[in-house]
Amino acid sequence: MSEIRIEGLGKLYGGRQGEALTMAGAGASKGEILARTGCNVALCGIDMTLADGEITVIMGLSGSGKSTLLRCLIRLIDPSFGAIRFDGADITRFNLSELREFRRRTASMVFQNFALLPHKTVLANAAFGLTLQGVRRREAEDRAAQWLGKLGLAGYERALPATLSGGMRQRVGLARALACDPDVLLMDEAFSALDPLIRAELQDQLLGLQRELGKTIVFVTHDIQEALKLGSRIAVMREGRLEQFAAPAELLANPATPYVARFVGQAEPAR
Amino acid sequence: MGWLRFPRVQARRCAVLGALLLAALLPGLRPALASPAPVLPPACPAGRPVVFAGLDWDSGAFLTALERAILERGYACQTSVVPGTTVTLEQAVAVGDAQVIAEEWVGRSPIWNAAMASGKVVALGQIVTGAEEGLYVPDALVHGPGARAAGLARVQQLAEPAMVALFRDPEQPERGRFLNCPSGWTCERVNTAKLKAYGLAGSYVDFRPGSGAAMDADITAALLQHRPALFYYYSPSTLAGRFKLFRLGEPPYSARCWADISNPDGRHDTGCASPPAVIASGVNARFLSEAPGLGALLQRVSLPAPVLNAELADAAANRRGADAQALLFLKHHPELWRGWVPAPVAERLAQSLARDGGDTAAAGGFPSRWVFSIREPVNRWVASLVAGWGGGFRAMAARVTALTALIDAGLRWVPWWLLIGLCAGLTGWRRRSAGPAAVVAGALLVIGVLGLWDAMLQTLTLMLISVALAVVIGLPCGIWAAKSRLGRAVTPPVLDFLQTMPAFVYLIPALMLLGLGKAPAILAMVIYATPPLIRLTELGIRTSDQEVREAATAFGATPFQTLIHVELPLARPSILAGLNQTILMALAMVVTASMIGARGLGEDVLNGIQSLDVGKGFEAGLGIVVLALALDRMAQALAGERGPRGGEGGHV
Repeated sequence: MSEIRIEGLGKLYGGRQGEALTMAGAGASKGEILARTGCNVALCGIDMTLADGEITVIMGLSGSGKSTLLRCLIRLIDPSFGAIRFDGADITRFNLSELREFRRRTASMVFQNFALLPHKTVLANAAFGLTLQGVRRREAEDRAAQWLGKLGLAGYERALPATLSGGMRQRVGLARALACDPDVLLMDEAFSALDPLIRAELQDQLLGLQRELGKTIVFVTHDIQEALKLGSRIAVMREGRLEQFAAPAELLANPATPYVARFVGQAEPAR
Repeated sequence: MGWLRFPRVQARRCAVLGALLLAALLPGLRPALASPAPVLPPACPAGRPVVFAGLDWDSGAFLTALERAILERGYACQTSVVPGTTVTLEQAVAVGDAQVIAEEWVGRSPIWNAAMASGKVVALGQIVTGAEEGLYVPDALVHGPGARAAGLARVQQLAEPAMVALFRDPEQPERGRFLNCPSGWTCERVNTAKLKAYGLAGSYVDFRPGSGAAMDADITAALLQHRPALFYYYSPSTLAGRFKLFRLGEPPYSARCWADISNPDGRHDTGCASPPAVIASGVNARFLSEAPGLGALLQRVSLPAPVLNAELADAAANRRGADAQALLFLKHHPELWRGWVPAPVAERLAQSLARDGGDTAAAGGFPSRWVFSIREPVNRWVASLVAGWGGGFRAMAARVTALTALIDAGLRWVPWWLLIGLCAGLTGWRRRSAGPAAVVAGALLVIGVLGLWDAMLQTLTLMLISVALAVVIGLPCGIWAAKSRLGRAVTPPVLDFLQTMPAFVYLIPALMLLGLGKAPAILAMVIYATPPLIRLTELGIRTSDQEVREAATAFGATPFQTLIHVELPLARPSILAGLNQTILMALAMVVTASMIGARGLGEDVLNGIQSLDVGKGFEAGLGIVVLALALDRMAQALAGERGPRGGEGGHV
């Protein structure tokens, strides 16, 4: 069970934040708030519930706050206000050791540019999360090797990341995250750096894994096609706010705002 | 030594400029026009300055200032000084690039002797009378209550084991230490010959301090701390005026003995005292014919050594420059100098002295009441450190020295071929490639072939210790600078300070505290070599891939785990570049280190340049470069990643 409830989440940078908050409440735009208060609104008033065992896609253009939102979920960025409840526990109130434990056991992240350790082998990279948990090396490597095998990387254990293709590297990233056996996978534009064929291949693999494992997955992307393909529900973000949060069919049929309509409109020709 | 002097000359020029304009030119010319002057032979050719050799020891600087002041104020001449080491300055006077050398010890320098024999230079008068030189000890060591060597009177007694123990060398405790002149000084060879002739060469280390400043600092520290010390010295000098020194008796001078002792290739079997010093003013002969009045002046200028010593001690006690002290002397002792110059010149000189207060401030200068000097507090602090804490510092230095001796002995114990083999083998094994191994082996072989093996081992010892210390200090500091806000704020200015502060500024006090030799040398090398490692460690960590660091955090890494697993490995290329810079900086400091008595390749370079033996300097310099190459390849191999299997060379 791993339901994530996001309540009134916001992130502000610099400036006079109280005033900015009032303006945001009154519906002022990001640009107006920045001009008046010197405050950069990255996220504002996000309320959503991410269902257990589903892939939720967070979509938006760059600067829309989608990556900030994802990073708040594991507190790589600390939100300015609001709460994030993982099965009821508000992670914004975690102290350092609770947070570390949460990052080690509950949520794992996959990065856009893979973020592998260039000096370690594929096996050591896949076992990295377990190493940090203090799992004994033999056991960590066994578990990592299983995941590598599952993702089609058997035989590459001793290679260095630099010798692998982009698709293979992201599989290592995925293996690293899955080896920790987290409840939640956070994926930040995980396939955006790959070429289309490889990307499609990995998307299929992810869908297969999700059916098999039933993990809760939060997937950030700027690509509407990817969103429609992967998402059980899709959140469209714009200027730090949630424009619409709905199932793909609903999004296509009833876009809540013209912005969403324009966004999903791009997808039409391809469908 | 040349570069050490330079700033002082600049300062002197500025001060003199004012004096020249205000005092010398106007009063000098006007009376000459107004009243028909008695016909005096010109002391300087019109329109050209008289160029003085810029002697850098205390009495030389004072006498130069004295003669210049008389020429400028009495004769309305222009003068300037050119800096250099003694030999280069003698050479300069011989060829006419400089015209006057104020204090020339006649008959001591082969270059001067040859120039005199061929008529290029002339020695005039006796500018100092009663000068002496020889082997000295602090007077308190032999006289008065608690004298630790009460019976010591003659050089021959130094061979007694009790004396050897008294003057124990910190680096080779079973032998005594004799503090010689810096290499390149005329006295250095003579003293080495004397040491052999007196049968002391085996029981005493013939220690060369590397520079006059280092020699004076070491002797001063010994005298302030009431430590036994055996050293060459001379009078006239500041030290002889400031402290009571005792000259050890030597067999009387004889021409035959001296001819052998002063000949570098002599037998050196019987020693004797140096000949009674004839200290004259030396002049370029051609120049003298253009300015006969100068000859008449230099013929007469003469000071008894005790008077001169008192002036020098007074200058040192009041931290007065040579120029200021010379003016003060002229003001206070007209009875001494009136006899040196014709009456009209004396009059003009007296008027000029009466007119200014000695200090001439330029009109547009910084307001003097805003000047706040930190000189005295610093001086007092250093003096109290030396007197009060000298023992503790020396004990620390002794430990460092013992460590160097141990490593040095270890390196010496290994046969040369094995050392080359080990170094090359280790490099090749780590890199899995024959290329770097061949570079290391080749470089070490070149050093051996150049005849620098022994010196290289001494330098290598210094390098091993100082680079190890630099890494032990530099890595944590670099990490701190990268991780902490305070560290990032504090580190850059401190490093800038360490890297820009001229080394001798902290080396001379360090030397007074730690004693001449390897300990202050290592300090200098560490101070100079650590900053690049700190900077590049900090840079490497700060610029390491943000996403990878973020990933470590996201997987629940503690800051320490992030450091060990991510940041340091990612910063490795930058840290290795820092290590490379550290090695090169430490090696670049080797020559400076030799100026404070650390032996090795730097000493050979210094020796070469100070005795104008360009070839020797180049040879040892090349040795330093080649050693840098070898050390860098080895360090990169040891600290870097292991090479790929079957690396480039493919032979391993």
